[in-house]
Amino acid sequence: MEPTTHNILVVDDSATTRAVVKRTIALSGAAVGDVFEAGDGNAALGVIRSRKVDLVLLDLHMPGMGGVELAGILHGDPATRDIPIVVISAEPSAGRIEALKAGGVRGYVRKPFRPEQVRDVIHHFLGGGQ
Amino acid sequence: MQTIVDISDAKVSADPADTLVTYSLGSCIGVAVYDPAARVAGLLHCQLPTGTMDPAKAAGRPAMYADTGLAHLMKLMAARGASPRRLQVRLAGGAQMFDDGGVFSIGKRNHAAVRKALWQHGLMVAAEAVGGSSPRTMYVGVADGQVSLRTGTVTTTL
Amino acid sequence: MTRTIEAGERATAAPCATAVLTAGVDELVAGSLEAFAFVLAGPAELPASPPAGADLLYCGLPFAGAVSGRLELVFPTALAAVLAANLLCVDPGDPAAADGQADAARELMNVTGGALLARLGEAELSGTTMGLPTVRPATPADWRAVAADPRAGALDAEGHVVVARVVVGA
Repeated sequence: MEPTTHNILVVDDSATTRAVVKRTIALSGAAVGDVFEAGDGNAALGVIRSRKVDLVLLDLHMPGMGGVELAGILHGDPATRDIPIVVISAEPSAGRIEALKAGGVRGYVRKPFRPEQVRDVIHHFLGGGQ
Repeated sequence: MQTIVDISDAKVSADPADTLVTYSLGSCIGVAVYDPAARVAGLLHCQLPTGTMDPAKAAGRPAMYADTGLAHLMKLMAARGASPRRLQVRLAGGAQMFDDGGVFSIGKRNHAAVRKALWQHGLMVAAEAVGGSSPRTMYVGVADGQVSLRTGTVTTTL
Repeated sequence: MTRTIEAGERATAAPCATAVLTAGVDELVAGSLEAFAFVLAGPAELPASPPAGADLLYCGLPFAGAVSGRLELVFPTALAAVLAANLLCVDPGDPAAADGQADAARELMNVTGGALLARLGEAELSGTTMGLPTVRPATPADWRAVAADPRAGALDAEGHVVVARVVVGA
């Protein structure tokens, strides 16, 4: 049987960070299909509404539409509310992160992150690894 | 049988009866790698972050430094048929043995240098025990890749 | 009643927040450089003037709300290329490192700003928001302005000197 592959959307205004996350995904050993990138919330919405996305890795502080607004839109739409969102951000407020989790965000990785933390997120939501 | 890996040294083994062991990991870092398919284990005991300041010394004793040491270990592993994609990596050491500078301590710098080298080689860490202020002894069983640590009289599995 | 207590806490917290945020900026930045981009940093004397002939970057990150201010770093552009190179696994002289250096410097400010504000208690933190980082070419005057601050710090990041300060209440 062919292994099921999952698509991941990486939303971050930093191209360098997107590259680091993409490399980590590639090294994770998980059965990942496409890895899409978006530099802000609006671009992310465009991807999510046109492609199958199984996991969103989401920065919060971005120019234009930020991560908090995007998470709210995705959780408010029955078509997208079940896509797991994991925030990867330098956001220091535990209270703000808890509020996001109460709104449906499934996990949080604090920047600066170690690649292993993102790998663990991939394995948790998409399986794979040893 | 035990094969001892000295400070600033790296060794690999494919003998299932063998255990690689390195003593006195203080601020140094021990990097244990294991390929479960090829059943090859390796252990590096590096002492300093980078050989770029002394290329001649790094060429003569690559395992002294985190960057040249990991490259050296990877070559030794590849020569025994190990694949980088399969390697399980475990780290120990990087302790702050004396009051040697807080965030600037050699143990922290060694850990950062090892993490950089691993990232460049496309390797991620399965488990680690770094920091603190106690020296560690690190054992790698070649039969199953199990890594154990001894601190004082206490032995734990990593 | 709760509102009154909160307001009182903020009023007395402000001088304390200043001390908490401005202390040990060299260790703060060293920790970020190491955790974010594997750059090894050590202590350095605070130089009043920048290294002669070096291209410099000014990096700023504002924060506002219950506690307002900004984090400022000035360092050689070559260090930003090292950040990008380390993250992208290329040589610092690779064109990809040059292309990514401003982006890597912005992200360094982002993570350092997060680590800085995490020093605050949640009561202050929840009312403070981090802005977006700005990165631009710096002049020697930018360097001297940061270095002249009595709370400024300096560090040696793999041969590149970084000057940094946190300004609170600006």
